[in-house]
Amino acid sequence: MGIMFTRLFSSVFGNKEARILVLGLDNAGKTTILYRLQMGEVVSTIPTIGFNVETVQYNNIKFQVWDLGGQTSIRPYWRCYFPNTQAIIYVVDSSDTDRLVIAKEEFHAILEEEELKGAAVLIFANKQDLPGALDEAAVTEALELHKIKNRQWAIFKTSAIKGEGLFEGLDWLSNTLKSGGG
Amino acid sequence: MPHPVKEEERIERIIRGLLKLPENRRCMNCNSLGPQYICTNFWIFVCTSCSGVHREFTHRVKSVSVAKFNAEEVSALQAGGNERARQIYFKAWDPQRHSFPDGSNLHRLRDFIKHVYVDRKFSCERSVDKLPMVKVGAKEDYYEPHSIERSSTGVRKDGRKYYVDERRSPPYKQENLRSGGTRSRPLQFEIVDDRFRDDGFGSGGRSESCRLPNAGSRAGSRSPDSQKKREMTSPPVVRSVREILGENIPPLQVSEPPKENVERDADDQKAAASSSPGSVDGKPVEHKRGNSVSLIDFSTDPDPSDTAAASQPEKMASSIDDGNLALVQSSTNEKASDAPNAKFFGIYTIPIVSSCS
Repeated sequence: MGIMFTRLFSSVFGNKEARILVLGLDNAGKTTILYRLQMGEVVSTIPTIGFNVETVQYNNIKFQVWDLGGQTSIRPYWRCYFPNTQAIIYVVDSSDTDRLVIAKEEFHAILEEEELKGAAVLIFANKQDLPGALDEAAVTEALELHKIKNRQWAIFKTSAIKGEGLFEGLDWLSNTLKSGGG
Repeated sequence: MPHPVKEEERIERIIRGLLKLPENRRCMNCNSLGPQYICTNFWIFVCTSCSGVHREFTHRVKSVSVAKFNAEEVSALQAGGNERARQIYFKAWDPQRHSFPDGSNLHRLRDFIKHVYVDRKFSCERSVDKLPMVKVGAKEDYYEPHSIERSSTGVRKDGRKYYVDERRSPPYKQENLRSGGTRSRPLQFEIVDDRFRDDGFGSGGRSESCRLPNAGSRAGSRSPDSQKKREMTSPPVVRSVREILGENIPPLQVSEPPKENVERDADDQKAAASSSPGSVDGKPVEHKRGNSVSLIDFSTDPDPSDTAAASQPEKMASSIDDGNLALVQSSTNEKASDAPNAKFFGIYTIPIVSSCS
């Protein structure tokens, strides 16, 4: 009964919950982004083995954000987290041009997943504060985003360290999730 | 090609084996037991907290247990490891004066890692591969010749790329370090600080003697810069340095014609550009450069020396045929005015010669 009431209440006042996965290669900045979103601060991180999960309330949406470790051998475990996911935030280290190819492969492998069929995709071209970072157009090309079909997606330039671009991305995400049901 | 699974196992076995070596049993930086990460910029084994700090400096870190390594990386790791890195990055480390941080103090750890791997305070060689932490504001356009050298590996010329390069081919990197490239403005300030703090001037402290050739080699190729800066130096400072260094540096009186040195540099850079900077020519070059520096800075009176020295850049510039070097010259001139902080630099390059080889 209580749950029913809560649901009713949220639907009336537009409160929604969304389960978000933050994915990307190791050292892309996923954990830094997560804590930047959650606390508004740059925290000192160590390589994530396993995951971090936090809730971020933004634009009347309660995002449950899962940040999964990106080291090579644990990427196969990402799929354990795929069910019931409304959106993916895919983080790319825009300055690590050597590994963009790998980032692209991982990205398209994720899109193939049946369980993520309905998920919106937000790409963060992160580390814009570093010299030599590619802009969103270059990252779009490198990741071959034009190949994305039947899915809502967007790419934003971000710098987790400086806190730039992250909430713009969340804006897009919340609008997309609100309009797209979910 | 070997069987993928077998290959993976083989690699894992090698890495586990490397971890058992006494020198790799402890974190390179904080000495804590059982490092579980490998920083692939330097091929060192580090603990969890240090791995986090390395990432802050955009160094790449891979976990021993949850990352995969390819054959190339493993052989680099075999060639590297903590002992090898110690020889490079801690060459001028004096246990009496410096101490390793412990893993609990993140601030100290951060400073430490910055000093050792970014500023390369103790590495005795000039940091050819300056890491991306270097502010791009001080983008070193006048190091063009060296950039070309680097780009021979098909890598672009920004700071980040050096890092990538470094990560990919450590033996090559080490060679570069050896041959004492000339890069990184930020380092010069460190040099000054260090000398003030660490020991009496010119007392031949290890870190000092090691670092100096670098400064020398830099001054050798960029003396106009330092000269101009020197003009801004306040007399008291100049005097004190001369006093202090005066007795300790007999070889500095060497007066070789600057021309020769410049040509030497040009040759050196050309050699470097051919992408095979053998460590063979590293040492003689350093000596030469050292001499050229001494010539620049060694005059009895600070003020006359300024004028005398100031005329040198022109001479040098005119003797250069090499297009790249000409570029160096012109951009240094432009730069000279906006770097007043570096005014000490010219002075401190003096003792370089004698102490290090």
